[in-house]
Amino acid sequence: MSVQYQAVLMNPQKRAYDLTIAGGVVAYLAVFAGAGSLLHPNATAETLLIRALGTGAFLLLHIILTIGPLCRLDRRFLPLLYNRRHLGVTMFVLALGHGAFSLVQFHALGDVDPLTSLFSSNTRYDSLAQFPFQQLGFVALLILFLMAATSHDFWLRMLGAPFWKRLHMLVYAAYGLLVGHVALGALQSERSPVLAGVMGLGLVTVCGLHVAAALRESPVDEPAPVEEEFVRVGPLDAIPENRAQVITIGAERVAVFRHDGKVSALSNVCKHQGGPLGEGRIVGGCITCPWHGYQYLPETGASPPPFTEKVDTFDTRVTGGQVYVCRRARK
Amino acid sequence: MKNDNFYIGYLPQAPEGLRRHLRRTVLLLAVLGVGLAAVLLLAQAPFPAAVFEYGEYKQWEGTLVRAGSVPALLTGASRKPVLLVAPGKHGFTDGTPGEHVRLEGARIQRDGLTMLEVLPQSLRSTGTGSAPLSGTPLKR
Repeated sequence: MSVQYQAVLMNPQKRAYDLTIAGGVVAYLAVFAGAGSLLHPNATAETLLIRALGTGAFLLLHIILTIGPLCRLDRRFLPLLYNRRHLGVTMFVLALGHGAFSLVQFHALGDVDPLTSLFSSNTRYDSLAQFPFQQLGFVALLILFLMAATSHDFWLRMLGAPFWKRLHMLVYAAYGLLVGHVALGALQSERSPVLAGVMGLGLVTVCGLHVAAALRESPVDEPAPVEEEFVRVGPLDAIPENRAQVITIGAERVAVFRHDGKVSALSNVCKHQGGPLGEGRIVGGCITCPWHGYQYLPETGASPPPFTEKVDTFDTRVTGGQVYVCRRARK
Repeated sequence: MKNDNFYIGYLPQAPEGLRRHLRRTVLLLAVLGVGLAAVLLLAQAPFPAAVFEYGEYKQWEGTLVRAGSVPALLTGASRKPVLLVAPGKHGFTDGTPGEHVRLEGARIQRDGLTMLEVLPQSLRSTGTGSAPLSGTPLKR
């Protein structure tokens, strides 16, 4: 298989998205570093930048992590997910700036090289107050680099969606490391409870939204009773035109679409990034993934030419106003 | 969500209801971001007054001692040892403890602690003695 690199295709939504991100980042840094220089005249520009970049990156990471569950709870947030990778790359750039300035400020121009100094100047792993928190931030930055570097669809095709998805799930490991980085670093030297409160609120928001989204989806994951070859989905009238109902057969989610007086069933997992096809709709005769708009023909599960993706399909039948789906994928 | 509210980024325009929702969300995020920047800024502990007289080397005189494992200069002006460091974050290795010296250094001061960034090759031995002869920094 060969994979070709294609530049990111821009459209008005992407441009608006990127401009909004840039405006937000500039406003944040201007308030933090600009007002900070007036409020704290004893602070150096490097110190204010280190703090502005670090807190800005951490705030962006919270926004990135809340977009996923928010979309599960309310589909009106889906346009924020469409270019979430742009947010991720921006967050990495801010984190890189924070890390680079910190490395120069605290570890450069010494007897050992900065990276050796980072890992050897403090090895008090047994102390909570003196824990080498910078090392946690460095490992998190490595993970964020891997994710930013592979964020383009070229790497998604190169690595394959399942591996790419697993790689990008490491964002949760990076988040955990960064919570430790802040809790064992800044929160040990700062006395204000406001800072701990803000971080606690962020943690509770991220975890709470993930739990709420999981609870909301748990009924879908109840496997349908499989007595015979065909599994009952429910009344045909319950499925809106050009929309789907999602059921779980065995361990697999299946999206059952109703369109043009017909019923089609496909795997619920988009081949692009694993988006939930059952939450999409039929646009121009094609099932359209709500995440990034990948399309599939309802009858065959194949993407329209020239695209080559294909999802599994399942036989269906309608009897007495009830929809049934074959429990085995069509071969 | 209504069917006609379905929108993918490559479509020409989002439905009005969705656009209104997104505008509100972005505005909320902007207020949250700027507000949070202000809160974090105000909640920080005040920065202590600090001085680094970068590149401003003055003459210092005193006795070389060790403050723990760090080389220091015991001057007459203050009985507190002044820590010594080579430029950057390099360790200072010239001279021997107990030696009375004259050197040129740029002052670094923070939270009542004083440190000197010693100009390379500027240390001159002026003899050996247990008591410092003079510790007053001399302006050039």
